[in-house]
Amino acid sequence: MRKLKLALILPLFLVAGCWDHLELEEQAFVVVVGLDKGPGNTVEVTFQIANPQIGSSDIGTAEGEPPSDTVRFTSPDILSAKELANSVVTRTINFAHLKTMIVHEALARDEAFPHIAGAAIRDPELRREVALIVSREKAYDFIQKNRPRLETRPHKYFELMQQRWQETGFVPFSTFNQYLQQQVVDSMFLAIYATADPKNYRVSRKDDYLAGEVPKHSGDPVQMMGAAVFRNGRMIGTLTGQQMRWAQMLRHKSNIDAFITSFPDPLDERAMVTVRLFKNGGTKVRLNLAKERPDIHVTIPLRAQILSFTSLQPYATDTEKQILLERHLKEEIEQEALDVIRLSQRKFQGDLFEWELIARKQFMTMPAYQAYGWARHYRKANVKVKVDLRIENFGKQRTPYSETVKGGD
Amino acid sequence: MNTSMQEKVGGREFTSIFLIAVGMKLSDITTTILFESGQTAGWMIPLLSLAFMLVAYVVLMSVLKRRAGQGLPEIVFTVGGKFGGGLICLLLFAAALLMTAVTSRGYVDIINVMVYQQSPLYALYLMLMAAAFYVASRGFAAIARISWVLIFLIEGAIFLLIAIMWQDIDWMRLYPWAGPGVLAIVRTGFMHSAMFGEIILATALVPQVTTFKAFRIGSAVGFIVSSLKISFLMAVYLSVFDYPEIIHIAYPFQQLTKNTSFGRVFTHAESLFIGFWLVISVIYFAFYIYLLAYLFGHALRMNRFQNLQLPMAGLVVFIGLIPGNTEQVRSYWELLISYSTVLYGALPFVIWLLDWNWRRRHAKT
Repeated sequence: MRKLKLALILPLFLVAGCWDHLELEEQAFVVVVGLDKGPGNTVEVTFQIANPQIGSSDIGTAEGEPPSDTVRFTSPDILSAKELANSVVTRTINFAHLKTMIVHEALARDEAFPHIAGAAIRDPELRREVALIVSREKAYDFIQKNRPRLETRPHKYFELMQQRWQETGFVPFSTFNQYLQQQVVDSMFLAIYATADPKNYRVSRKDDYLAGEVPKHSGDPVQMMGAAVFRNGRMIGTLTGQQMRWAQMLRHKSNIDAFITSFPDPLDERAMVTVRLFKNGGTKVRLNLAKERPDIHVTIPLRAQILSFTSLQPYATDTEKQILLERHLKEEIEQEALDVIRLSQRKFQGDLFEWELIARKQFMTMPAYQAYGWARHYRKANVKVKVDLRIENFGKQRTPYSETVKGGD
Repeated sequence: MNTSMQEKVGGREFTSIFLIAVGMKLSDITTTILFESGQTAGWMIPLLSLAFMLVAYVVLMSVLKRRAGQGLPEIVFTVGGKFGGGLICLLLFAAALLMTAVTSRGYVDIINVMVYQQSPLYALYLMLMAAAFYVASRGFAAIARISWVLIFLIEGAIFLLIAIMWQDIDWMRLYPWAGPGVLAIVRTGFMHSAMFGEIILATALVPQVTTFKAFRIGSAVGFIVSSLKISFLMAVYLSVFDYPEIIHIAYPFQQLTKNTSFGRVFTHAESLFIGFWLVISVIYFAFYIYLLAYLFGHALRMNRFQNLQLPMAGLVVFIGLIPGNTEQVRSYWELLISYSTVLYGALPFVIWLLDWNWRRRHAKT
C-alpha cells in the first residue's frame, strides 16, 4: 500500500508546473513602457527591455551588448503590444519588473487615455505602484534620448530618481494607483512632468521651472520638473516645480518633509535668502461648508533653517532684523501658496490638494457628500492661508563677514 | 487508522482553527462584496454581522450548556427525534456544502487570476482540494495542531503587511463614516451575518474538544478576534485604495500584497504573502471537508464519517465548477449568504424551542 502510494505521488514531481512554468532564461523584463498616440484608435507602445547580464557578474558572456533594448509597436492596447513584441524579441515579455510608465502629453490630453489606462490595469502583471510620468515629447523619443551617464541599468535610474523626487518635492510622487483613485468625477491628479528635449532655458530666481526650462548645460538631457495636472483622467495643464512644492505642502499628508528654496531678501531686493523648510507637523485645514461660498482656512506649520543670505545682513545677531525676516518669509510663503490655490480654482477648476478628504469628514453619508458636489463649491471657496513659521537656526556662521558690503554701493 | 482520530483538541488549538478559518475571509471575495454595499462604512459590516450572529449563538449555547459534552447533531436528534434531527443536520450540511463550494471556487479564481493565469481552473481546483483532503484525512486533531503551529506566523505576516503599507494608509479616506447611511449599514450587516455562520456549525464539534469551557472560550475568542481582524483589514484596504476605487478592485488583499516591498532590494514581497495564503487556504478547506463529512455522517447516523471525506472533496469540486465565471461566483455567494442567514439565524431558536418542549415533556413524566 505504502509503495503504491509512493508510486502514485513520485511522478507528480516530474509533471509539476506544466501550465504556468517560467524559464528565467526566456524572460525579457520590461522596465519602462512608453505610450504615444497612434493613428486611429491605436496606441504606440514602446518597451524598454533590460539586459540582465549588464551590471552582473555574467557580463563576460554579454560583451558588446547594450544595457537595454527599445522596441516600439502600434496596437489597440498595451497588452496586445506585449504579444506583438514577441515577433521581434526572442524572450517572453514580462511586466513583473515594470516600474515606470511614460505617457506622451498629447496622449494624456486625449480623451482615449482614461480608457487605455483603465484597460491596462486588468493585467495582473502590471502593478498599481508603477510610476506615471508625462513627457512633453513623444514617449519613444524620451526613452531613446534618456541615456543616464552614471546609471547604466535603466531600472536603477528610475528607482533612484523616484527617491530624489520624494526628497526635493519638485515633482509629485505619482503612481498608477493614485491615478486610478482620482479618476472619479471632478477629481484631480498630479503626475510627474518630464522632458528629454530641453529648449527654452530661462533663469528664475525662485526655481520656478517647468521641465525643459531648467538652466542646465551638460549631462543627461532628461529633466523632471513640475507636474501634469489631470482632471477626470485627462491632462489639462501643468504646474511648475515651485508650485508643485507648495501644492504638496498644502496637502494634509505630504510625501516631502524638507526642501531648500529661496526668497527675496527683505532688506535688499537684489539679494536672496535661501532657507531649508521643514514641515512641522501636518497641514491643518478647517472648512466651513455651511455657506454657498465655503470658507477654507489652511495653516501650514513650518520650521526654517537659514542657509545663506547674500545681503550679508546680521540676521543671526540682530533680534529686530530676525523678526523682520521671519515676518517677511511668512508673508512670501503665504502669498505663493495662495497663488497656487487661486490657480487651481480659476485655471484648473479643481482641488489639487486632496482637501476633498477633509470635506468628506463633514458629511455623514456618501450620498450626502456626492450631492453636495465638492468640486463645484471649491471653485468658489474663500481660501485663507496662514503660515506658522519658526526660524530654527542660521547655519554654522554667526555674524556675516562684512557689513560694509551693503554700504559699498 | 491512527490515534489522532479519537484525540481531543485543547482550547488554544481550537481557537487557532477559527482564527484561521474565519480570519481567511479578509482575503477573499467577501470584502469586495461588502464594500459594494457598505461603501466607506464597509469595514463596520463584519462587526455588525458578528453581533447579530452572536445573539443566535448565545441562544444555542444556553441549550448546549444544559447538555454538556454533546454536539449539535446529538442534541438535535435527542430533542427533534429521528426525523427532525436528520432534517436539521441535512439542512446544515447543505448550507455548509454550498458555501464551501462557492468559497473554494472563489479561492481558485483568485489563484487563477492573480498567480497562474494559464493553468486550467479544474487543475488548480483539484490540486487545492486534494491537498485539503490530505490534511483533513489526518483527523481533526491534526488540523487543530497545524493551525496552532502556524497561527503566529500567519498573524505575524498580516502584521508585517500592515507595517509595510503603513505609509500608504490615509485614515481620512474612511469618511464619510456612515457610508450609504446607518440604516443601510445595519441592514447589510444583518443580511450578511451568515458569513459568520461557522459559529453555529462549530457547535457540532463540541465532543471533539477537551472541555465545554474550552469550546465556549475558544469559539467566542476565535470569532470575535477574527471579525475585528477582518474589519481592521477592510479599513486598511479602504484607506489605501480609497472609495470608489475599492469597488473596482476584484481582490483587495492580493492587490495590497502586490504593493509591498522591503526596501529597494526585495520589491516583490507578494510571493511571500501569497505563499502563506496558499498554505492557510489548504487548512481552511481541510477544516471544511472535515466538517462536511462530520455533519453528513451524523445526519445519517454513520460512525465512520471519515470515509466520507473523499466524496465530500469531490462533491465540492463538482459543485464549485458549475458557475461560469468569477462574477457568477459573486452573485451565487450573495444569494447563498442571504438564504443561509435565515437558516443560521433561525435554527438556534428552533432548537431552543424543541429543547424547551422536550424538557417540559420529560419534566411531566
